[in-house]
Amino acid sequence: MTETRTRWRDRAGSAAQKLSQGYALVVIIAFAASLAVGLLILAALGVSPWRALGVMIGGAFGSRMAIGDTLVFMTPRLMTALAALIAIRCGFYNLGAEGQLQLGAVGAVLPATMLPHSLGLLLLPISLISGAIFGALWGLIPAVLKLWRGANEIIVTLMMNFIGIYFVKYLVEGPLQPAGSNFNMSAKVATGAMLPLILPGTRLHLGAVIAVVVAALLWVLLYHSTFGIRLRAAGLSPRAARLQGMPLSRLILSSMLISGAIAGLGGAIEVLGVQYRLIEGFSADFGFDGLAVALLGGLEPLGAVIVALYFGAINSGTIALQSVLSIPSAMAMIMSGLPILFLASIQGYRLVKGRR
Amino acid sequence: MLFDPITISLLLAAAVRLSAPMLLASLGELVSERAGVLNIGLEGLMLFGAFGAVLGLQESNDPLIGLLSGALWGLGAAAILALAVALLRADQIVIGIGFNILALGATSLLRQVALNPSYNAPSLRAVSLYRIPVLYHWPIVGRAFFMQSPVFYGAVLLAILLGLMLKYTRLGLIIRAVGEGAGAADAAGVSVTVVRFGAMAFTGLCAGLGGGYLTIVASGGVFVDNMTAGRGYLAVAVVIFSRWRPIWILAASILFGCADALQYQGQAIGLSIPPPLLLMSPFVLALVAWVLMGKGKTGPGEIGLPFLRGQK
Repeated sequence: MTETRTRWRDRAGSAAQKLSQGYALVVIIAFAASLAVGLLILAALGVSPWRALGVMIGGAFGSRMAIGDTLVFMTPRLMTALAALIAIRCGFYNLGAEGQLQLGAVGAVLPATMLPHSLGLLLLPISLISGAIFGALWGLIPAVLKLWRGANEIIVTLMMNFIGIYFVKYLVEGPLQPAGSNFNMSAKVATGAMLPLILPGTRLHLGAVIAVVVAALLWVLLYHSTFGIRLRAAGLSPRAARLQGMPLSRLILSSMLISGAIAGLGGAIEVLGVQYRLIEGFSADFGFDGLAVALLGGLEPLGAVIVALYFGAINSGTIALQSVLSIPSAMAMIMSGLPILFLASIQGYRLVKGRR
Repeated sequence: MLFDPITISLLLAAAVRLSAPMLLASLGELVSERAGVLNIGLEGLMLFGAFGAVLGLQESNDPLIGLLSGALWGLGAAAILALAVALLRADQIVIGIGFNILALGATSLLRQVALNPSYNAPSLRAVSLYRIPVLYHWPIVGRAFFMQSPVFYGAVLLAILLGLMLKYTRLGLIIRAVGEGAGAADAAGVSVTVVRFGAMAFTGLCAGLGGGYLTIVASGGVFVDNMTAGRGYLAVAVVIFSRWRPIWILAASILFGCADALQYQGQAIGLSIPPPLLLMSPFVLALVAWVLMGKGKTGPGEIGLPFLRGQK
């Protein structure tokens, strides 16, 4: 099993490696190809693709409100992407951002609805931190299970996603449902815990800024700290890192703590900035979208910001598509999934051809 | 009231009935994994199958054609996935994630474009119930195991045949060889690409049929967005902690079927577990089983790795 474990880690490492080389062109091709397929689908649905493209761009960037929406849709996906990124860069395939985000939302809503409202604006940092802690603890579980039992993290994190989702469902149908309510949601969070809106006339909240700041901090951590060097070394080659005397277990544990905390913070932001309640299904598969964002962004914080912005635009654009041209907004998911398919295929092909 | 034979028998019957999609998907995944492919896209394949089955049903009014259509949609979707994984050597995990996002969107779009929401399904009895003569009279287990959909019997038969095939036939040996050491298999003249492509196509066929069963046999011919709800991911876990053995896969599927059944019948037997916790339980069980079996190595050695000639 040790042998297999090392191989898994090597694979994650080499994934990070191969993504960084000659990468920008491949990503551009992947996006162009998926855009072409998307336009073909729209044509098949009987809409002029150019008209549709115009509507989408208008819906994503055409007005102040559109830009606000795009950034609101970007935020959770950027957070889960950053969470996925730091774990994968350490060689730990964390597919559990969805679950950590769900737990983060729980962690935020507990203080935000239960602590006395008299705490005022103090409630906001308390709730955000509590969300991050919940996410971090949830993220720690797969790391511990891997180090202690050798349980492959891919399966563990996938299972824990659904445990998290159903845990939220349980909470909002039971313990957190206000007495006398029939809706599957928690009580509204206290005003002091809400993230302030930052662009008048839009839904844009402070969370978007937090997400970008976290991305910048992560970049500093990865490239300008000893911890970051060790973390990347462990991801690229665990064996070499071990021979250098690096504390592999501790690196994995801390990268998963950070990863979980970021995803948890993302969940907290979604609750305190957009929904103001814990609602079943508040996450539109943010976890998996974030993974796609992280991989498309080359596992780099800056790349993640750019791709997350694109994903945000796709989501606000397809909403305009739905209201103007009655195209189902499921197009957003198609447009989010396609680039990854192209990217992985092209990268695989490059691997076969030995151009890595 | 709680433990009288009739309730138990009904509950067991429902559990077995609801176990079939998981069983079929897991058996498909088993072959992929034996050939060295960790197919996370199983969730998406099931979704395509579930949609395809309802489409087939609506077009033909024949549930049998519906199931066939589901299996073929699964096969078609798997062919695309296999093209990327087996031929182009795409990273199996990465592509699986992208494929599942795409499947969720595509089936939702197709549902809104191609399915008639007010369609009245014809009688689905032909595919949902067949009494095996005499045996179904058995107390308690008769109803559970001998009064089921013909698809379930087929799936059990498939489990037995797959077990024998993988263990005793030349084809089984080739599949296992490719999963265990693709380089050696390649050197022996086996085409790793063809074997993995074939294995994934078979996975698609099974997962598609499983998805079709979910819509046509278990939900009366209705497709709902994301109706697989993680069953595909669960099936991937089931295969691994069943240690690639069809018999254990069958047992695990029925156990998870129980959780599904309790969700619908829990109230009737006076059980007051909230439904979300029942929905959660298979994932918790899978996690616990997965952690408990942690050490030990019986699985395919090169699972998850792309085959590159000339590299170890």
